[in-house]
Amino acid sequence: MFYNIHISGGFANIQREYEGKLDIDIQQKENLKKVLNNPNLVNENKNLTDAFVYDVKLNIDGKIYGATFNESTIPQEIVNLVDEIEKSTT
Amino acid sequence: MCIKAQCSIIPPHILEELAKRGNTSCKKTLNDAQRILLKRNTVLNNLLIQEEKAGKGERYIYDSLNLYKQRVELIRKENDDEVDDVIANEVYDMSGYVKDYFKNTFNLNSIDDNGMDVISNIRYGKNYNNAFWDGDEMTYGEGDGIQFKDFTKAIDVVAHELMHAVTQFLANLEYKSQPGALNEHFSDVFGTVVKQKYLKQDVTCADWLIGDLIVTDKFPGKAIRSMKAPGTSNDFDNQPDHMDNLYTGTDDNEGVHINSGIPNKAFYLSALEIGIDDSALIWFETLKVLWRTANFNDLLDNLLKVSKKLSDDKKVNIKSVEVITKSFSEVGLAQIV
Repeated sequence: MFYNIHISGGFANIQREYEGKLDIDIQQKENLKKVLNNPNLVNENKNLTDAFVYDVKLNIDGKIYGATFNESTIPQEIVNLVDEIEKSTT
Repeated sequence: MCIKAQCSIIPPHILEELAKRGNTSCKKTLNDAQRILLKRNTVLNNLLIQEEKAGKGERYIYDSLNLYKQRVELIRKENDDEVDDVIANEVYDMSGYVKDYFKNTFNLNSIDDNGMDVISNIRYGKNYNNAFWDGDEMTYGEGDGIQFKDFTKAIDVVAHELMHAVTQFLANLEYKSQPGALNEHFSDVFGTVVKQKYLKQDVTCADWLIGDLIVTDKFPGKAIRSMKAPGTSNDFDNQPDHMDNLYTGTDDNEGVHINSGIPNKAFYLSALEIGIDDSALIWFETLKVLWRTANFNDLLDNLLKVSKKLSDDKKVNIKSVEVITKSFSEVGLAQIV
């Protein structure tokens, strides 16, 4: 899977960009496809200020999946993915 | 007169136009309607119709214990003695200072003008480089210790976050594009006003920096933002100081922390001429008449109306209209006649 994750916002608005390739198993692929195809924005907290904004684009088996989240809408699958990528880059 | 019940059947765009023309009850209805719509997603509808009783504006400090959760462990509440936790005591004191500033200066009853409790969460997450307001409470990370210190270390950060609450309840500026940049602007304005009061600084000797106390020596810059010179506070600072360089991309909720540099610079220029107190009064009274979708031109238009009235009433410098006009002209904004 190829990823491009752009994080902006936050009090400091210091942007972070992660781009690269990550090997993930079939179950993780399916979970990521699911949350990107159907982002749950119903519970978006519109009063949230200074939160991070996550622009997520994934290329899974040749197909592009993308969505934008903030800290009130980001699914755990994306949190885990960002954690994994950040750990691998530090 | 546009009472709440009548306004509820009027389309939002008409309410907005009436609000722009100075109808405060329509503005209130518009803002209340947005808040109610939002709350309907999360709470039982029957709670909405109950009148909110005025609270006591009490402070509560919770420790997130490095979890990504709020209200994990209550460590200090209003009237409690100091606890064995420096950060908790500092946040308690600083949020009290900010609340008192708004009470003593503008007679605001806590952050919502209805006695809302002031709830702070400290040590949120692990190495979390941020602080935010979520509509109900403040949350502070303790920073990564490499480039950022604890976000509770600076009075301007605490005041900035609390001001988001005040803005939410007074104008409910939506958090994207120019209204969002105004939301950030008001937080930076009162973050810096409170900082200057707290440090007993004068406008001429103040540094006009935002967040200088939360960055370490390894951070590539001296602060997060500069109101005096937007775009110069650190290597990543991309704030414009003129409309010619207005950011039009999608990052950061369409540039809310970026384009706020433009009105920030205008505020700085105005405060240098008419002083921080007159400027604060004009900006605060203007916030009260703004509405959810107000943009930079709406800000200027209303600043001039408000400053004219306040100077006629001899509450601010008689040159305030002239000074604000000139300050905004320097950042590329002129009143649309």
